[in-house]
Amino acid sequence: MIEEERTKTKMILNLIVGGVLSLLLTYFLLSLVPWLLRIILFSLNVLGLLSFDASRTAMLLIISGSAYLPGGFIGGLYAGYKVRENPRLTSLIPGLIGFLSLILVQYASGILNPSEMDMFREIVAPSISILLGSYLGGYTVNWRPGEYVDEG
Amino acid sequence: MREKLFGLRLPLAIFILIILILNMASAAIFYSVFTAHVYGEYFNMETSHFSLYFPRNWIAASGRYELDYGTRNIVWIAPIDKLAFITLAIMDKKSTESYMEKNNLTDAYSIMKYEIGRIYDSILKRNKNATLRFIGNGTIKAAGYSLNYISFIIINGYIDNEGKHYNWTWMFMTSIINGELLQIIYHAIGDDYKPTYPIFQSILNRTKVKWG
Repeated sequence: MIEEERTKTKMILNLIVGGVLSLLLTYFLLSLVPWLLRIILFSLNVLGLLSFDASRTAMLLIISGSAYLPGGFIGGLYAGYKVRENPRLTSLIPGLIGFLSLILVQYASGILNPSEMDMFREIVAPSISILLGSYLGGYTVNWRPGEYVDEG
Repeated sequence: MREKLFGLRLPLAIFILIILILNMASAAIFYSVFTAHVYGEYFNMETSHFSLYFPRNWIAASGRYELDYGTRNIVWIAPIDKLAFITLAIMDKKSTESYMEKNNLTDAYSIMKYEIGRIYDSILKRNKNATLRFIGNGTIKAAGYSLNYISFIIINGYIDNEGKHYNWTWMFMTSIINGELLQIIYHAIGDDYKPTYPIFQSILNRTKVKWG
C-alpha cells in the first residue's frame, strides 16, 4: 500500500518536473525565437515586413513550431521516460502544466492582458502546440508500434 | 502502423515534420508579403488615409482613434537602430473643428504652437533643465501639399536609462486641407537627427494622402 502511494507520488512529481521543463524551455524559446527572427530579417534588409498584418500570422506559425511545440515536446519526453503507465494520459499532463504555468507567468509579468487578449494567438494556438508537443514527446519514448496494430 | 519514418520513431518524425511545415509556411507568408509590398529599397503600405513608402529595415504601424466628435488616423514610422520617429496624422473635419474650438486655435501655426507647448511642458515635468530653442519656421512641400512647419530643439530634452542627457530635435508640419487637419511630425534624439533627416524627406516625397 505504502509502496503504491510512493510510486504514485513519484509519478506526480515526475509529471510536474516535466511541466516545469516544458515551461522553462517554452519561455526561453519565446524570448529567443522572435529576437533571432528580427536579427535575420534585419540582416536581410527586410525587417519592415513585420509591419504588415499577414506577418503576424507568419510570426505565430514560427513561434508555434519553434517555441511552443519543442517546449511541450521536452516536457512530454521527460515524463514519458520517467512514467511508463498510461502514456495516453501522462504524456499530455506536462504540456498542460507547462501551458497553464506559462499563462500564469505571462499574466503576472504583464505580458498577457485579459482585457486585450487575442484568444486564438495567446490561448488556442499555444495550448494546441504545447499539448501536441507534449503528446509526441511522451510517445517518442513509449513508442510501441505493435500495440497499435493489435488495437486496430 | 509504421514503426519508423525517415529512420526515426514515428512520433519524433511527426514532431520534426510539423516544425518544418510550420516554418516553411511562415517563410512562404513572409515571401508573399515581401513580393506584394516591395518597391525597390522601400515597402509600400496602404492605410485608409495614407499611401506610404518606408525603408525596408524600418517599422511602420497604423492606428485609428475615436475622438470626441470624429476620428484621428495615425501612421508611425521608425528605424529600429536609431532613435528617430515619424508620425503622420489626419483628423477628420468634425474632430478638427472640435479640437480647434476647444483649445482656442485659429490656424495651422496656432495648432503647432499649442502642440509644441504641450510637448515642452510634458518634458519639463520629467526634466526641469530642458530648454526649448526654435530653429526655424516657414512652409515646406510634403506629401504633395504645402505645409506650415516649425522646427525646434529641446536641449537636454531626453534622458536615457543611464541618466545621460540628449538634445531632442523636432520638426512639426501642419496644414488644414478641406477642413481636415494634416500633421506630420519628425523627431530624433541626439546625433540620430542628421543621418535620418534625408530618409524622412524621401519618405515624405513618396507619401500620398487619401482624403476621406
